[in-house]
Amino acid sequence: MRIDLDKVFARAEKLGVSELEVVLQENKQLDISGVKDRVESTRYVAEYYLGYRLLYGKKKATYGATITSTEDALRVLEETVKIARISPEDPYWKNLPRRLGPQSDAMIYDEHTGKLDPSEAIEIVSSSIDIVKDYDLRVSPVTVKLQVGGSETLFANNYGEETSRKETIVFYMVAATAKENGREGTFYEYRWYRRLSDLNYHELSRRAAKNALDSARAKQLETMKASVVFEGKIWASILSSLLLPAITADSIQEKRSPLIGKIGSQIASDEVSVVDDPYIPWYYGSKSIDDEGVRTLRKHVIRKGVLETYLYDHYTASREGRESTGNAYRMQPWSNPRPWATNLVFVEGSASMDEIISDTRRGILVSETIGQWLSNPVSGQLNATISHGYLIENGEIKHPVKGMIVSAQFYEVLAEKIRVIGKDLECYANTCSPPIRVDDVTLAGR
Amino acid sequence: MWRSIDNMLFPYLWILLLDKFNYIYLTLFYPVIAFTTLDLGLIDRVLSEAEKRGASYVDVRLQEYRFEALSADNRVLKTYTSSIRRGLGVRVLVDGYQGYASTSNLSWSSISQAIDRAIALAKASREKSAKIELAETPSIKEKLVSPYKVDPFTVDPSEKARLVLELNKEAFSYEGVKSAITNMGFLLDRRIYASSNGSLIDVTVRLTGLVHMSVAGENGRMERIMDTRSRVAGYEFIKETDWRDMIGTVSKLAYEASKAQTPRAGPYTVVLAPDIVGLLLHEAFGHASEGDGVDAGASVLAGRLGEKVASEHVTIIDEGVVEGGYYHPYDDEGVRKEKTIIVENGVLKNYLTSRHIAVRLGLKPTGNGRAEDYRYLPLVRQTNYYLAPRDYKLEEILEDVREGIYITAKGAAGGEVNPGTGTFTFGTGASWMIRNGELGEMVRGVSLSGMILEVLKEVDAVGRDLEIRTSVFGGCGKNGQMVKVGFGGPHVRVKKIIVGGR
Repeated sequence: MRIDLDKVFARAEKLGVSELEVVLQENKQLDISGVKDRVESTRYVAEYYLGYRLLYGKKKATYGATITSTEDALRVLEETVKIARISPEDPYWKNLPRRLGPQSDAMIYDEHTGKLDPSEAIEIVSSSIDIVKDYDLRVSPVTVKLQVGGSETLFANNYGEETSRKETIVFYMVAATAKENGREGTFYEYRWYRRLSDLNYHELSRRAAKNALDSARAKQLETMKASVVFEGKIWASILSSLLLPAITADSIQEKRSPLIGKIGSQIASDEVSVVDDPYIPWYYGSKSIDDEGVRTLRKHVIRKGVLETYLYDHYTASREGRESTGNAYRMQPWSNPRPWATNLVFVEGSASMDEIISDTRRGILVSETIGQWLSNPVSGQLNATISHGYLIENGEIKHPVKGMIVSAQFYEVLAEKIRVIGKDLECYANTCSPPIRVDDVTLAGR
Repeated sequence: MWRSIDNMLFPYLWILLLDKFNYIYLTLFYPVIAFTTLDLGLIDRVLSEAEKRGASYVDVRLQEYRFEALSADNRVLKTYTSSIRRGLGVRVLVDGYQGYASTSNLSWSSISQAIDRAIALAKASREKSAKIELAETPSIKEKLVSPYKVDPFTVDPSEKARLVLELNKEAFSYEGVKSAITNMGFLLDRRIYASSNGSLIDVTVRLTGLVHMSVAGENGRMERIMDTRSRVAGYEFIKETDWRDMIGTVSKLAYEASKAQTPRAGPYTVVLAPDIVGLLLHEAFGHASEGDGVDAGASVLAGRLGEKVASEHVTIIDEGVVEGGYYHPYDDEGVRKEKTIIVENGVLKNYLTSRHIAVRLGLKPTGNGRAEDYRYLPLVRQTNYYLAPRDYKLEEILEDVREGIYITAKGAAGGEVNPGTGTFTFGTGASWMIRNGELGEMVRGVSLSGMILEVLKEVDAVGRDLEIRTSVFGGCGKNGQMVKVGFGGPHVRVKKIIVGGR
């Protein structure tokens, strides 16, 4: 489908609109789900979205719609105008970004993934089921899900700027369940990729099977203080709930972050560095232009424990008279943008997971949590419930554990309690981390 | 598939980045809608065309989804966002194999392509897939509109903008408030379901609500408290509710909570207020009672029909249309949603089912086959899931507690469960210590956790004050799909549950 943008901008001008940003997005998605011993559902989605951000001076409205023609786009424009005209002014509004970056050249589009044959996707799901089934008699597959999508997004504004981004994405999940001596356990393994060739479903399926079996043997322990070793993906998920919302410029400007006024201050121990890096090939958050079409850049957020910058989109940057850091993010093509990380990476150390474990006297290795997103980024309170972990004693893994709540003050952890930073990054969507060990943590249990 | 994430009450602070392909829209990031009327003639054409191209069974879902949200942030109207989304999804069975395709482009050429794709997918899965059987349902023709007086989408936008700003400013008249967000949201969801067995069901729901969060504190010790109300209703709900009272309460609690301590970690007796008991029930039991998880062996409730799974005080109901809840008279497979008793006096009586899962489990369809929207195939989902009231008064529930915690939802963000392992968790809001039957000092909101098969056996008192809620902002997420749900119950005492803390 092609929308005649010239017509849209001409109509906007005629209606006296002072600024107009248009986002057009075409999505295609193939989704295969397997249940137990069979492929159960196959689904194909095609969507075409339009989003407007429209201004009369400092009066603003955003509007989104599924559309089928330029006439639809013009109708949505009239609706948007009606709302913007009566909106109260936003005193902080300066303007839309005047200069957009060149067409995306980040490595996030893979031709094979974008044009995947359904039978290949079905084969992956069906093989995953077989791998779990063959792992052990006590283990059965629960579900396998493969979603493969491709999208193309165009950003344009009435300053004559236009740019676009093409990308592919893969989401894979495999879940297994195990029964042993009347006890049950389930484990969900899930990952995101940019191209199908990075998906090692053999390894992930075996890991789901192994962890399910472990989980059937898991015990709940009594409340204790101990070391906690977080696998990279788990620590990454905690960063996405606690650190990321606290470093976005809107949280700072609207006084909802404990990091207000901390630029240049030591907020973590010397060993801690965190970068926002949009240029890692084939990573989930990679992009050379952000969701306003502005060029992105790599920067340290925390360098050797010192907070160096917050993340800005154009609006929050112009409120402070500075340049956007290329961190605009839109939840939907029509959402108002807000600052968010590209790839937020906790910089690796040198210890391997085996070394971290063998160096731990008494602790819990955390392989899966639920509810870590219930952590509170305003107060810095970390909460996460361990649904799958292991007790470590004298450097050795003893037995699986479950059902314990990890609670801590996140900034105390960053400043005083991180004992070891490991190597090998794992990602939870766009936050990435190596394994880390935190000492002296309260674990609520039986 | 049964990993479930729920963020029903106060979704604002949670933006889980599950991306455009597996995302969870929760929140203030707005779903959608339409300016031209839907062309119902399309439906017959899709049904007959799909049959002509080889489908033995077809169902079609045509949807119009409209959403409007206004956000006042620290005395400034930051966003006024509207959206309109329309689309059509077609499910086919070809020789018993299922395929599904959807499109947001309602031109015939695009719809025709979707039919071809659905049929091609059904054929492609023949080798690796099992046949799907759908329980028979009566052919139904019905058109329903949820009750409302004033259509929010016809109210002057400047009136809504003025009110949301005024309410937002109110928060700053309270001590210690540093930041406040007030959001108003309006949803219209029209779903038309038709199938080759002759059903044509057209349901329109309007949902209206407001959420407010205040952040307060001093000297770097800050806390946030939120509260929200939504109702299946029109703009009259905004006019008739005392929002100033809610905002005042939230603002005072936020300041008080910023000075409060976190409780000591460990097991406690807790008394749950009606605004949070639904969250406990939803996580601790609701997801595990969904039949698809039971069928796949991913629920600890599998094989336990007729067993005692809770104390005798516990009766759990899932009901499609109920005061305070979401409006769900039919599911997305043309099945009428009746009142389903899941647990009766502690005994597991039934699972929730879709048409496919009903056949798999040898049960009747309960009207719980629900999809987020036209882009998705239905999954088994809860509708309004609640605990039936008994006869305790709150004072009676409190009086036997020597040391415990009284827990409310104000400030809580949601919960999550792994139904196969049985571990669940949920966040709590403003809470107070209970000592010798009386409320003591406030403690900060924390996380609670328990095991599905244990926690409801610990319920030893159930109140008489039933309250059911839904939310225009949040929802229940499962397998990448968000749906609107309702949940609730009366005051409840749980003898032992794990509380995270110092």
